[in-house]
Amino acid sequence: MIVLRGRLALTALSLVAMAACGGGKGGNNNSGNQGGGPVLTVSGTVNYEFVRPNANCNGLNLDAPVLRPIRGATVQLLGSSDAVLGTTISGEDGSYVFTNIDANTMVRLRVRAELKQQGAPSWDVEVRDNFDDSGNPPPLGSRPLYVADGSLFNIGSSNASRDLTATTGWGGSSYTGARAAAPFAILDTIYTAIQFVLSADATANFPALDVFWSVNNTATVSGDLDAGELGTSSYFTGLQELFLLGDADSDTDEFDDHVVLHEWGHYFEDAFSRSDSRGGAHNIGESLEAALAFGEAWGHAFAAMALDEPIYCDTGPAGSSGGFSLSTETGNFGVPGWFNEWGIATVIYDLWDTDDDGSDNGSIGWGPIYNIMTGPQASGDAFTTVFSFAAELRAALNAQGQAFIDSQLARENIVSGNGLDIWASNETNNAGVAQDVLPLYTDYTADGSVLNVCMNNQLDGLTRDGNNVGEDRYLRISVPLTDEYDVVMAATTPTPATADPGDRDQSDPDFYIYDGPQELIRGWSSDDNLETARTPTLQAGTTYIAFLEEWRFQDVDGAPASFPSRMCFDVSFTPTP
Amino acid sequence: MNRMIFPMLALLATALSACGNGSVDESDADVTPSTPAVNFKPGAQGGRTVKPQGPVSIAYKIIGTPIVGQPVGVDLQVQSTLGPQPITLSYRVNDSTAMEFAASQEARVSIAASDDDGPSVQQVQVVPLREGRIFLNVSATIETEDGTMSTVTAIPIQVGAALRETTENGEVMTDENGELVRSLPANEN
Repeated sequence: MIVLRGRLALTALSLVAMAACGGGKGGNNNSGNQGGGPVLTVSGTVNYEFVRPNANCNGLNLDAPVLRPIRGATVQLLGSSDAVLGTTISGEDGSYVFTNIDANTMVRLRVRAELKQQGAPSWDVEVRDNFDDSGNPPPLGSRPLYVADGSLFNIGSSNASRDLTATTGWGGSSYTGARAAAPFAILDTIYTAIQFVLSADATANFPALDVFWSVNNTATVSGDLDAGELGTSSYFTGLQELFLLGDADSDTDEFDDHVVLHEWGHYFEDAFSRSDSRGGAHNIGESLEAALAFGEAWGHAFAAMALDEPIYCDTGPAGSSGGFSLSTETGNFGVPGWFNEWGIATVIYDLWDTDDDGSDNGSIGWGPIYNIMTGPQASGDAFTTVFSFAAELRAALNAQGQAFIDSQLARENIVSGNGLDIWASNETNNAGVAQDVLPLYTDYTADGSVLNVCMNNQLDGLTRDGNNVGEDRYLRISVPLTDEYDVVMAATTPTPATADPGDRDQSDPDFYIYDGPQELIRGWSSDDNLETARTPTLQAGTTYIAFLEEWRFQDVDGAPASFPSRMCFDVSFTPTP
Repeated sequence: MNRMIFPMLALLATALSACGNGSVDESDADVTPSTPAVNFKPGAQGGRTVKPQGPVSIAYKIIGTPIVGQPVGVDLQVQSTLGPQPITLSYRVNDSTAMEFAASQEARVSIAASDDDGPSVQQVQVVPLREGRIFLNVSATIETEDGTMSTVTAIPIQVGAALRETTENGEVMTDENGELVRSLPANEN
């Protein structure tokens, strides 16, 4: 059994960081001792206040922040006119040093909310303020970068020591000062995630990530990112943009490190692996569409592993006692199965952690999980679900490891053993939904024949998000001829018109067709009851997959209450003449 | 149809009439889910993944137009995703100079497990004391095998025409390289 725990990489990364520090000025130092007089050093540490949650995740303990070093961030020494006199990278303990500074120079410290590293490994993380009500905002990537600034001081005639702390701005019952700690708390949490990845791959190259946080990023309104109307914290797949809440009146996430790394886990999938999740709303305990369930489970498990802390905690508005916590070790919410994000998260976490919780008495470590996520999970033929992950992982383990993963899957009522494959061929758990759930993949031969496929929103609740099991369907398509294909998805369930002309009372079918990770074509028009598209050339003998949906199941602002809760469609792939 | 409907989500204070509970008045059409931003499909780039919501969904509707000094009702629909079970609701106003509870309003309400899978309905009465966007915090608590779980939803109540109040945090300036930075003052010693 492999045991490869995450913190082993800290030493290696520390060496990298310290090498970057260079013991003093960074590479773009442009000052030096110009006058020939005494040369001095300015040194110290840069820190931020981190806020832990209260017991049971009953809000944040803002009255008792803890000091943490700002690690791996860019530290600058500025002159009186803000010219950069030196640049360096803070160490693991937040230390910095600038040497060769002229005596009697007016200087001040600046810490930039960024992590920059070139070479191998490399990374590029910036924390910026997305809020801009000017009416003419610059592109998101050019929005203001957060910096923590010290005040000007005269270095005098001897070496200077200066420690800088970004504070929370909490005034006892509300925020009364600048919330300087927040962007650095986010940055440092991400630094932890980077280290965790490096423990499995010491030369990993992280694509650039922009993180957006603002005191005006609210949970109460959604729509305009410039106005901070996030609705919730989120990650935009394909854009490498992570948005976090900061509005003290509605919800703040800067100190909810599990939330930050949950979303960063989605970045990991985007940058290093793959996710076929459509995203969208999901409540704990729901039975979710398979790819969404796995993606969210991955976010939970990654956060718990990287933080070496199984308790997920998401606090609410500043100063409130609101929040909820969940154990990635023992949590059990909703119907167990391949559709339960928390159940899958406990499987992944329990594969990694070494604590024995009764049902989990082993560990395969992070390395094998990382290898599967960056290998077969990224390139496989099937959608990214717990089946693709677990089947590929199981195949890479020895007998002892296979028995271990089988025990974890069985605990969550997910098919295991030799019956496990990436297609869920032998899965029998239908989440209690009698129809339109299994088989997870419906087989179809693209010969022009018509397949009738149904879906239903039996499990959708108040949010009407279209994300529950049964609301979407997967196809596994075999192609007899190398050709282009005309794809048709036509509603066969009647959708009677309502009296309200504002209702979108007709079916809106959509489909997405893939060759493994590669999307080939999508049919997502707003045409009533019918969707059509012509594929590029499909190769005979290749297995393709398709995702089918009834858009009205999530069209919360358009579909009438009378819209059918079960819709069926005729689907066909016909070779072109 | 362009499925990158993020701009459309500003319009999401719209019908959720498919709540499936006969106790919900048909006139209560404009109910806002407490997670308003998240029900859109992927654009060409991909999806938007969001953090999980707790095991209680809350949707709300503000009854009528809030006016300073006059009670206004907020209808709540509450539903556990863990099945029918008792839910305790606690109400809190962040800024007591901006809003208070109506005289008869209890700050804490216990809701018995519903008879079906539909949401339970409650109404909260508050009195705005000034114009602006004022927040009512609703905390929903349930008991699970893992202990007590509480989720808080901040409900914005718009009083008058005053725009949403935004907050300054530090100062925007341009650094030596012409890049915009938001300068936050730090403590030193």
